[in-house]
Amino acid sequence: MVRSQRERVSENLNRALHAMLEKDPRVWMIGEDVSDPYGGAFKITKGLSGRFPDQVVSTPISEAGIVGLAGGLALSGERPIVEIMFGDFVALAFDPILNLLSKSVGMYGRRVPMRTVVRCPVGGNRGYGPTHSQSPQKHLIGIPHLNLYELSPFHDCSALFGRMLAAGEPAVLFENKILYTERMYADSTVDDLFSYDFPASSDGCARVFLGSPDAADVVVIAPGGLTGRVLDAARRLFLEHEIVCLILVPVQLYPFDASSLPPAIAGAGRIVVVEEGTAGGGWGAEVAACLYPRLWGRLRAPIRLVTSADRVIPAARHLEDEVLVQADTVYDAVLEVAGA
Amino acid sequence: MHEITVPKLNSNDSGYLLTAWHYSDGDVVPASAPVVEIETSKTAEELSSEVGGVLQRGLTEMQECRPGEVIGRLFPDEQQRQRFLIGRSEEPAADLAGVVITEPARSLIDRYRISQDAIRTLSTRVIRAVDVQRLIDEADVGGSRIQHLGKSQLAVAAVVAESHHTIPAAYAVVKVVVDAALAALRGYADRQKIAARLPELLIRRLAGLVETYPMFFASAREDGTAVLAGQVRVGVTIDIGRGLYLPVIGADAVTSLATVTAAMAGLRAKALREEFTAADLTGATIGLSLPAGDVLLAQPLIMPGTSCMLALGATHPEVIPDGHGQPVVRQVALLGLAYDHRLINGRAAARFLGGLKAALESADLSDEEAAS
Repeated sequence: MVRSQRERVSENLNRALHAMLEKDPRVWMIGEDVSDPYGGAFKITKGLSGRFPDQVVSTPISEAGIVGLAGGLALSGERPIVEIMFGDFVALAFDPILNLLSKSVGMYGRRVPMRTVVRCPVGGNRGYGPTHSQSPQKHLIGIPHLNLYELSPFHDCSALFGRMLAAGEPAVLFENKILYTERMYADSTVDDLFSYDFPASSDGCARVFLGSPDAADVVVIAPGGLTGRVLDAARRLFLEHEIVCLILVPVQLYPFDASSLPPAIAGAGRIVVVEEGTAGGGWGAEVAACLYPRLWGRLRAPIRLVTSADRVIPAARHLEDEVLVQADTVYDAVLEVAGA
Repeated sequence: MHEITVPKLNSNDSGYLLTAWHYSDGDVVPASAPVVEIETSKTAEELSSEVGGVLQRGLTEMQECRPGEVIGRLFPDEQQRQRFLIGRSEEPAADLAGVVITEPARSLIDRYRISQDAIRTLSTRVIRAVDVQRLIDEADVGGSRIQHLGKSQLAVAAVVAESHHTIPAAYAVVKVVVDAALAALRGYADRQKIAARLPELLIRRLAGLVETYPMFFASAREDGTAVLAGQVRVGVTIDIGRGLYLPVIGADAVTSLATVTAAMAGLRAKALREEFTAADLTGATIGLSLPAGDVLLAQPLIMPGTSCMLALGATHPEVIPDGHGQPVVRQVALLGLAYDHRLINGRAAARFLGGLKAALESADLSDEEAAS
């Protein structure tokens, strides 16, 4: 497939951080090893400390302390962006996220804007083992005033950061590591089969479709990190079975805005929700709970949730493949739902 | 031919970008020379091939490639590269670049042998089964379907059509009593260990007729003349289910029954292996059709460039009264002759057939045995 040399997702993200720090001296970058020359474990903060030495803080290994510092800065009207080196470690910062960042917005009798973003590289398929491969999104769902986002190859990071910092509520941005080296999509084109657009607005969900966006057999809702796998499955489902998938990639995971979804979702009557997190109490269940009241009576099959297995993620790649959601997992689920 | 494949260059990327070719199609690439540049998310790498050769690129610059993918080929020489290009252009989907065909659509295309041209008329970039079905339905007029002819049948069609357009044919048949010939052939086979049959005997006997009947080994010309070949070169129909061929038994092969038999066996073997060359198929001065199975009588085509074609039907028994009115059984075969009426009239045809009939019915093969 012919592609021009489009920007990689990591470059888009790095460019957004540069723009944020440049535009507003109140924006900080805080995290472990974020300064040059290392520039962060995934090089996302590359070049920031050189250009903005007063806004970049390389910290000791102490996630609770780092996020606590961000909370204090946000309370003082600053706009800190925190990098958690591996999203798995966000568990260490659960207390300041739950009890400082999010609560401060609504527990002082008047609304206190908390403009801060906690960036979490997440996800597996890299052979990093049980404690560096997880997708902890579900553990942060349902906290008042805490908004969850996920990086996507469709959504421009500059616009996303502008929106997260403007919201006045703390945000956690999940960044699937697999995306960093992928390229951003541009010009409404995904490949020779699929196109995309933003039916509501450019910060709403991206809609990936084949032919017409209004005709689909199955609607697949998946966050940005699953884009490649879902597209692989959708391509094979069409070429082998002529099953047409409409893929919806929301950039905001929680609160999930079901009202912004395109009407075609009801027309298909068959919905699959995919997430990389382990089974049980996950984001997919939250999405399904939002959709059922809207689509009651129009669904032709129960909403199908696709998750990774209810297991610890192995380090060995062939075993990791079996535990985590793959293109085949999505393919099988859609095939089953399409036949229902 | 050596394939240039993309190695796995790191563990992060599922694909890389082909940024530059250092050579063009048809260039000679030395062994170990850097031939192509691939960019990963972290570095740019030059790939070289241990084997040198003539390059044919598979991807263009700025295309994505994946580990294990073949991005180019190196051929030992330019001729082999050209052969590869010809072979590739004959692949069904080669001309449909940029068109995506689903598997259900592809299986319909294969089943109904739908041509690339027909598929192109769909003028859609993504072809599904329903699109192909529409083509089939359109072609499906009154329950009949369009079947595209193969290359060899198209060649037959061209020859037959030319024959029918240019040669006004007439037709005559005689009955040949073959008991004596069959007995003689059995004796010949026993003694010589050569399994000659009636067609071989017929071809051998034709050799004796060329002086007496030159017009039957001739071709008509527009200017009212005929070219007399003066030689027996027999184009024989062979169809073993892989298309109809008319290979030629040359003048030097008709000198004895043994050589005719060997030549016929050789042609059948070539037909089986589909190995006929142009030389095998040209230069006939007369044709012989050998209808398959129990067919008694066939009207053969007259090959352009000849004046007639014989057809020898299946041997079959018939009952006739003997001199005393008693029924006796004898073996007969019908010998037909389609001839160019511009050169040959019915009387000459009857004489030629009579001469051939007499030659076949005379059971004497002693000359043949003496010769070998």
